[in-house]
Amino acid sequence: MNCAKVRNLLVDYSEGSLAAGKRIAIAEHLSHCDECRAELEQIDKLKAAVSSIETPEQDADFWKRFDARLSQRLADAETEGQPLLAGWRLSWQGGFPVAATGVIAALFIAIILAIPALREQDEPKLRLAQEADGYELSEYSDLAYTDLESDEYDLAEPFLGFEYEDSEYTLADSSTDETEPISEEMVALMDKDMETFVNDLVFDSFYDRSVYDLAEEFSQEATDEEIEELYESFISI
Amino acid sequence: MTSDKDLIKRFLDGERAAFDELVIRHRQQVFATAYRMMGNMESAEEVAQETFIRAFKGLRSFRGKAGFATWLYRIAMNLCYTELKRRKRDTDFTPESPVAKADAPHEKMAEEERKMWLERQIQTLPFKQKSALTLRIHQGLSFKEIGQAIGCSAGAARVNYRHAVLRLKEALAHSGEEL
Repeated sequence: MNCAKVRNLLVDYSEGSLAAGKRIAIAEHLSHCDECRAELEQIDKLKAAVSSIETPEQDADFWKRFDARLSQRLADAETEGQPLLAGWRLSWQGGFPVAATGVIAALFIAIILAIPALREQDEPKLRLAQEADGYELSEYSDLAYTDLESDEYDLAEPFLGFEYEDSEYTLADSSTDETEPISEEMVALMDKDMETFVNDLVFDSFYDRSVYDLAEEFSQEATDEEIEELYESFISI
Repeated sequence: MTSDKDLIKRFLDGERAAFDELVIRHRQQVFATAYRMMGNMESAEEVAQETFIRAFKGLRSFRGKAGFATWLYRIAMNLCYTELKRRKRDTDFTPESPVAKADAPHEKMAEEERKMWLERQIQTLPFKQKSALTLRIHQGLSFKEIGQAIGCSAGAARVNYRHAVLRLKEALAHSGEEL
């Protein structure tokens, strides 16, 4: 394992969250690499420094006031009764209209799920889990929904997704209208941990990071040979 | 000690005091988490209050798939996210300084300054990275629990955490600060 690969995994190594094979390989590398060992030491020191940052201490009076205020607000809440469900936002890649209320959204879901003919005939084999504004679209359901205040599911507002046409995959960013062709091998690899890949794209910008790094980063199970094979099959690079 | 599950059941059966017990049990951690996310006491208190109000209103629909504490963190994180997004003040954080002791040695003051610098850097992290860092290091949550709290997979939570650490490390290297 080379230093670049090791350093990319040192945080996970420090957390003990790597599979045994990778953990052993990194330990072996660290046994003879002073620079990577120094990197690991820096990571451990940083974690300790973050851990040492304390929340300002609150005295008994603070909690007394906190409890009193909360009690009053809870009493007001009991007087008001249970609130109506918050409105859901609905957005669908196929260009369906945006709905503002839970009632309309629920009716729309029922209609969509009841009419298979409305779905695309040439569906991709793999689906992309998308994340925006704290909502999540399930990989296995067209219209999974998540209400973050309870455990119910609400509807996502995707901006990044797969397009599949004539047996070709394209990654599309609807916020910029940019697209990137992508190989099926890459899609299969991403499917191992689709949400991690999407999360990387969402938070690290589609064009600011190498897709090679992304493929390697989230595919903890892929061998070096699998990744090399993937690089060669990647269409746009 | 009575479990959260039992207290929830008692509350749903009509025992109002059971919810008060849940508040006392979890308020410190909810408040501390909100403080780390929001960066000031006033906002943290408001988030903590609102978290328990929403929990009170929504407890009947809590299915118990995640732990109660994790569910509280999820509500709190959602509130923090909404408020931070509204304010767009990711870089406006001024850490509330700890009370300075008159006879503090120079090394101690330097350590406090380093902590404040680090707190400022943490406040500039993207929301999910800051969340993952806070919940992992300060609350000791597993990546699965962090994922449940911030609405992503365990793998994504791990990636966010990793990126948070690496960003802070890079900021440290550029600043010349030492730990």
